[in-house]
Amino acid sequence: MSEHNNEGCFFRQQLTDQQFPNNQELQGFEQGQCYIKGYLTNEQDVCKQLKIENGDQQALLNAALKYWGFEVNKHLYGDYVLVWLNREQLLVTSSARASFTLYYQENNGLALATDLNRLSDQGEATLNQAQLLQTLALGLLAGKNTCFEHISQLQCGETLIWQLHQSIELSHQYRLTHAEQLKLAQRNKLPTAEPIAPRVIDDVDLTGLFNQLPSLAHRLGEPITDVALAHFDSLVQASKSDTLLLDCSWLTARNVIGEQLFHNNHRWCKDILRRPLLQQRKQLNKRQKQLFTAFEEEQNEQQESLSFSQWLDLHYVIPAWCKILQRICQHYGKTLINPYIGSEQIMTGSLTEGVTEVVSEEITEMKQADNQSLAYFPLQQISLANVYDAMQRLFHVGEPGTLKLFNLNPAVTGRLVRRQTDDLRRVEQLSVFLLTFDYLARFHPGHFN
Amino acid sequence: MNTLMIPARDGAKLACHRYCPEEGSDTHARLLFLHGGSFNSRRYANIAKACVKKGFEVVLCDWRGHGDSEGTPGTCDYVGQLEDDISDTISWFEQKQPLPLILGGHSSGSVICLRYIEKYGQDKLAGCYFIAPAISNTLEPLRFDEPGSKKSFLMNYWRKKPGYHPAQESSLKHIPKMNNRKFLLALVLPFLRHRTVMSFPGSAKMAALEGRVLNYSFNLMASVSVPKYSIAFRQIKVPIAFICGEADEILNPSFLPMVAQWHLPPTLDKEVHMLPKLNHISVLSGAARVLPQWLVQRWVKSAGHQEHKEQLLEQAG
Repeated sequence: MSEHNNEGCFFRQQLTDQQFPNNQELQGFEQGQCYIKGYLTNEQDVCKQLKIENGDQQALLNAALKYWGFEVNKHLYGDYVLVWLNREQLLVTSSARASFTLYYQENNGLALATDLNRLSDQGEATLNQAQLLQTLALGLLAGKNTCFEHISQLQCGETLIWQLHQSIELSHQYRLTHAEQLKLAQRNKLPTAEPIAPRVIDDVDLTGLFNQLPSLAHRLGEPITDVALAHFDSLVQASKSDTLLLDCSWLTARNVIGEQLFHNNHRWCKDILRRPLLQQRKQLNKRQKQLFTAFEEEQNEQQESLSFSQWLDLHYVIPAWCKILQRICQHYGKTLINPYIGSEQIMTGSLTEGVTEVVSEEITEMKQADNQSLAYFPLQQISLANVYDAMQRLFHVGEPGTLKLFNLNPAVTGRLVRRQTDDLRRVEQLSVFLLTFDYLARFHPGHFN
Repeated sequence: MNTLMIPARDGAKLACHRYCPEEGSDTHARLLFLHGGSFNSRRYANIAKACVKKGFEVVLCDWRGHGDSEGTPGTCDYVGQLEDDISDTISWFEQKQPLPLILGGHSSGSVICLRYIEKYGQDKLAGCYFIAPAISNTLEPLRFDEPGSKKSFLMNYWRKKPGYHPAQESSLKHIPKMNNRKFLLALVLPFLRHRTVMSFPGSAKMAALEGRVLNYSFNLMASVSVPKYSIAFRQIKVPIAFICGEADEILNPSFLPMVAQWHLPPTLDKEVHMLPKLNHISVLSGAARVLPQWLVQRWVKSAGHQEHKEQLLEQAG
């Protein structure tokens, strides 16, 4: 495995007039050089193949780009995002199933950064309400959009090339198919790393966890979707090693979407959404149709026997979850080694602890019991540091922006908490999302109001 | 220690007990300290002496109507007069001898500081500290359930409150009692706002000996409360310290850590010291240990402090 790079990078080129053709800002890398965030696992093989002296990563990356061009991510194995810049072009690419994230903003020029805050703090970021509704309805799904308008993220296995003239143009866009990505990811030899502690929720300090949520939201620059992320954050902070191996118990904390629930997923929290968010339903439905069509097309091509929810889990939920776990590690200067999940593991059900797909009444009951056990905060414990109580307090102390988007009427939130006792984890997720959203609105009013 | 009588804007003389470091030694900053409700500055001499030892000038201020200050005991002319008094005191010291100013207090005294920050901003402050701040306008900061809290919970949250945890007898000796009927009458009829609506526990004889004020009017009570603490705290931009006992009878032990994480700006220099076994009053002995350390870490021989001091001297000169 190559050395890890934990330094961030930032690039910005604004649209300029002819008097100032080179209005570029660069941090973390230079023109004519490659920037890599993450690690390679076949560095020695590629060195041999390209006849490069082993150990000179910059020479290797330059030679690999020259040799394979925009298909470089098919030949460099590992988990990374790569940026290459010269006077005329900017190329960005990511490995198959990359858990590292690169953000870019195509608004009045081009900007890219490994840290979301670097772009959202530029002052032009506004909230992407359609994405907000999607996250509330479906949870985290891998995709191009972020919670801000105009800020996108490079998708796994995607390559983009911009021509940097006075008008900046995206000249090339290519993405590895899901099948290609799985095939390439399986070729990765997992580097040695300290396994991170498994997810055990019995002995967690809930007050500490509750108080960790705002600082995590601030570091990530977006609302938190699950308490498990704060739990993971505390364990990463306590770990001693710089390279951590992801324990599969952390993957079971993800929000798995059942097939039947996919089309009416937001109904359970519909009462809590106000008009600006409800108006985004068309876009949510469109996105759901897109995903379903993509699933059907892939099934026809590959004759795979994954169900829709398994397919969604494999290609959208797990990658998104791994990305956010990696971002948490990156904030401590640590690297997370991601054990890639293949379709076999999904099909055998070794990772489906939280699936809500309806199979039979008995199984549904069992799974609902699982869901309850997965919730961190007990519903019947009234406490200052309890997410349900804190969500209801937002009615009294919430920000205008939050109250404009969410109907935090005590009667509505009280009914939600009372009636959703069989799906407590989803109420917990909603509460955490609302609380961290409101927190960000308080201290970044320009973005979240 | 010397006592200064500082004129407020209405002409009332406010007593300030000034503790200065030895002559010739460097003074890093000035602490303004506001005592807790019903008390006066006498009780806080140990904190002042501990800070003076570390090179800080300490000014213990008696609220109007308390201790040696002029004014009617147990009331004030209007809601908000106490923070106006702080403003006048700060201006007076600024004119005489400018130094970086750190504002804070104990219990209700720290709530007055919070109100001052909300009203006057922090331009004149270099830091602030809150020792067991008695924020009691809403239910959540309170450690124990009050009578009727089940009903309030149901009305606020539309859910049943599963438990009820009233305060034990021993804990009640620091918790004032509110007369709800008188409070509501004063709320509706402004001419009743100088009459007592809240009483602190304690015998009148002992109170007279200690110089305590046991009865508070509507005006005074409203002057030591913050309607929306989250809005007040979020404005703070100077280094801040919270000091509280884990056995505090008024504050829920989770409250200050929660405020620090959820209601203060994320990048602010903030510290929360929850001191084991100490209650609302005995926390003062712990504060005499913790507060000087917090001050030294931030204001002793830092370049920032020197710059700030030079700026102040320039402004004054």
